[in-house]
Parts: sequence; structure tokens; C-alpha cells
Amino acid sequence: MRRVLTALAAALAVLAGAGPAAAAPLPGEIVHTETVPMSDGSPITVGFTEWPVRALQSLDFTFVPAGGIDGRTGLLTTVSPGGDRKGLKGIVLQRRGDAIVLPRHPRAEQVWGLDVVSLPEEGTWRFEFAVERAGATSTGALPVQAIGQPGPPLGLSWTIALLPWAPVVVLVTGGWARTRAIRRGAKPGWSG
Amino acid sequence: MSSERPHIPRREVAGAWVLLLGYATLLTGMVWDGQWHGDVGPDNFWTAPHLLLYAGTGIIGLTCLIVVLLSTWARGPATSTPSATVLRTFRAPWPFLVGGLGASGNLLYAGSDLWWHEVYGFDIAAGTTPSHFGLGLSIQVEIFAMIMAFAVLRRTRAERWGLALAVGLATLGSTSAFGMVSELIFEWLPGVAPRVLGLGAAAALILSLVIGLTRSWHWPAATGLTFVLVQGGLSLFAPAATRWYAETIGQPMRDYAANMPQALIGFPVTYPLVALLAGAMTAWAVRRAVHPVRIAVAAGALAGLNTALFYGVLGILEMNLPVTLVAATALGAGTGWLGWQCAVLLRRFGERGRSVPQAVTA
Repeated sequence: MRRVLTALAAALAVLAGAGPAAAAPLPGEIVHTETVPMSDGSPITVGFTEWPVRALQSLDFTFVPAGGIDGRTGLLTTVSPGGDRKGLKGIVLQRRGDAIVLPRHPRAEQVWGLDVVSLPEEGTWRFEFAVERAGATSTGALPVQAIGQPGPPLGLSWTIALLPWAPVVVLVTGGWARTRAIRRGAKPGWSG
Repeated sequence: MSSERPHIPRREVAGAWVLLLGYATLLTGMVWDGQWHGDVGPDNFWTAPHLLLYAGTGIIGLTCLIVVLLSTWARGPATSTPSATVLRTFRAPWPFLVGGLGASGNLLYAGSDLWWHEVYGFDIAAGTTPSHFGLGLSIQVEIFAMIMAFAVLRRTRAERWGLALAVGLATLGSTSAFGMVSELIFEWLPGVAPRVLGLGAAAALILSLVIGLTRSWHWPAATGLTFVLVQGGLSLFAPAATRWYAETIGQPMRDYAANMPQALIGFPVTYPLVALLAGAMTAWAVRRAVHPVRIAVAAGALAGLNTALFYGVLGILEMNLPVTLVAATALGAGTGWLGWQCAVLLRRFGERGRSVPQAVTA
């Protein structure tokens, strides 16, 4: 009987602990999660809406600290493979130094998140976390591998996009040269 | 006096005003879209701001097509607007040929943009994309077409106010293409915010163009007023429309939504002062018979200086202020000269048909 009660209590504890998981953010959208061990032993679960992460491809991130976000401030520094500590640009991000002050995810307000962002560089990124609570700060880091970008090489996309402007440049330059006499011959007066 | 007026058929006059309406719709969509990205975020190809943007392009494209077809079928005296024969058949007045090409380019790049977002998603902070670059340039071509259409007119007070309004819209609207191009060209310059140079150049070009076109102090000053109307109107509209649209489709606002009109920082709010000053400079130069090119260059330099000062004080762009001030002023002066040269050519548009009889057969 005691074993059964212990098992029941354990199951209840797991269920209680799994409470936030039951209300997992962005159901059906998060396709991969990673756990980041933090210095205070209270991990952060990072959710990805695309996996593997490809350079330049937009995705949403969710960040769920154990115990929820209430009373906590999350700071995330995204270090690009090239060493840029403001590697992830994003729209309307509040920053403290290089770090992004994590906002709530617009479609999952119970967790922190970044929506419609991309890692512009291929290689290993480093997400450095700092979570502040009651004057104490815990830290942790997660390496995130961004594989090659989707689609054709960027150079090819740019070439195709710019090609139609080549004849425009030629026409405008030619027109400018041909009208030189008109422009030089115009009387530079104030009348008319 | 009336026999001196160029012969502009009614189809071109009406066409110019509808181009203005089309571009105003496009710009409203563009500014609303920027506000939406900042305050709310989730995006797809068919959001209301995008639809407004494409409706504006549709209006411009259809207007140009209709004017070209009417010009081709028209009988009676030819328009005095310089025109081109396209495919040996179609008679296209230049402003509407340029506008039609701009709108076609816009729609083509919109198609490629749809593909781009399907492959890469909707992050617009990662930098300029090839499709957005093409869209920006195509829209700039539409802006030039609208200004050309009114540059040809300028016969009545209403038409001159039309030019002033077109210039007010163009000043704010040119931020996109000029910003992107300058980021491509000037990124290597140390200490300089490329975007400041681009916006300064746009302001300088348009202001000196107006001075050169109208040769009067009234109209540069009037463009300051129309700019206030455009920037003020869009600053009131975009945040309100964004909140309304978000509520309507059940989207929450972002945590750190600026919730302030982005149109106010998209182009210097101090620009109208520069336009007024340019008007005052022109009045002084007319009285003293100062060479007008000097005034166009000085107005351009002032526009560049103002842009650098505004963003330097605002502090939202990383830059070395003295270096950017010098670069923006120098580029503004050069672009001011360029604006004057463009104005000389555009004035020829209106002067070509002065001897053409007044009968309008459009």
C-alpha cells in the first residue's frame, strides 16, 4: 500500500511539475527543444519552430525557465560564429548592452520568446543566458548550430534581382550624356 | 497666356491625379506595414497593409496602361508631353511609360518576394533581401513617374499644389530605396551611418528639384507644408490602424512594442524647417539675382546637414556624428546639383508644346 501511495505521490509530483509542460507554448509549432543547464540548477528549455536551424531562415524561439517567467528577467546574448555579440537583429528588441531583454512570446504569453527571427550566419552560434531573480543572477549557454541557408546561393539571387536594372543604368547614363548640351545650354535664371 | 500653355490632354491631367492617389495608397500601406512589423509582427503575404500596398501599385499600373491606350487611340493634336512609341504601336507619354514600367517591376518583384518568404520566412530584420531591393527600386521608379506627370502640368494653381503634394509624398516615400541603395554603396565608409546619407540625398534631390522646377520661393516652402500633412497624417493613421487590425484578427501587441508612430523617425520631422529655409533662400536669391544653381546646391547641403543632425540627436543609428555630418552635407550638395539638372530636363517637358494649338481632343 505504501508503495502504491508513494507511486501515486510521485505521479502527482511529476504531473504537478509537468504543469507548465501541459500548457506547452505554441502547441504543434515547436518541433525541437534543448535544455540549457543554468548555474543555479534551474534549467531553461529552449523551443524551436524549425529544426535543424538554417542560416537566414526565420523561426520562432521560446525560452521557458523552470518555475516560469513570473518574477524573473531573462537576458539573451546571441554571439554569431564570427563573434558579433549582437548577431541576431530582430524587430523592436529591447537591449541591455549587447543582451536582448527577453520579451514574452506574442502568441504564448506565459513564456519568453522571439518570433520571426533568423540567424543570418552559418556556423555555431552561442546563446548566452542570464536570468535575474530577487537580486541573484544565474547564467548558462547553449551552442546552436545553423546549417547552410535554404534556396540558391545568395550571389545568384542578387544577380537575378539586379539584372533587370542593368539596362536601366545604361539607358539613364546614355540619356544623361545625350542631354548634356540641353542641361548646359539652359539659362540659369529665376524667371518662369 | 493660354496660347503659351503646353497642350496636355485631359487623360494625362486625370492620370496624374490618379497616380497621386495610387502612390498615396501605396505609401499608406508601406508605412502601416512598417508599424505592423514593429508593434505586432506576424506576417504573411496577404496582410491588410500588404494589400493596400499592392492596391496602390495596381492603381498606378492600370492608370498608366489606360493613359497609354487612350493616347494611342486619340485623334487630334498630339500631346506636348514627350512620348515614346512602344512596340511600333503604342504611343506612351514618358511619365506614364515610366510609371507603367515601375508598376510592372513592382508586381514582378512582389512575385519573387512571395517565393523568397516561402523559402526564408518573414524575418525582415536580417538585412535587405534581393526581392525587397527590387521592390524598393520599382517603387522609386513609380515615385519618379508621379513627379514627372506633375512636372509636365504646373499650369494652374491646383496643378502646382498637386506637384507640392506629390513631392511631400515622394520625400517620405523615397526613404526605402535611397536607404537600401546607400547601405549597399556606403557601408564601407567608417563612422558613417549609410542610411543617413541616403535619406539626406533623397531630401536634397527632391528639394532642389522643386526649386529648379518652379523657380519660386512659394513651392519649396509649400512642399514643407505638404510633407507635414503626409508625415502627420501617416503618424496618426499607422499606429491606430495597427491596433485596430491586431484587435480585429486577434493578435496581441508585442511586449516591447514602441507604440509610437514610426513615420516620425522614418524621415526627419525637422525637414519642413529646411523646406521653409530653402523657400527663404530662394526669395532672397531672386531679389539679389544670385545664381540659382548655388541655391539648389546650398538647399541640398542643408537637407543633408539636417538629416545627419536629426539622426545624430535621436541616437538610433550608430555613427560618428562629425564624420556623418560632413559626408551627408557634401553628398547633399552634390545631390542638390543633380536635382537642379533633373529640373532643367523636366522643365523642357512642359516647354516643348507651347506652340501647339489648345484644342483638347482627349
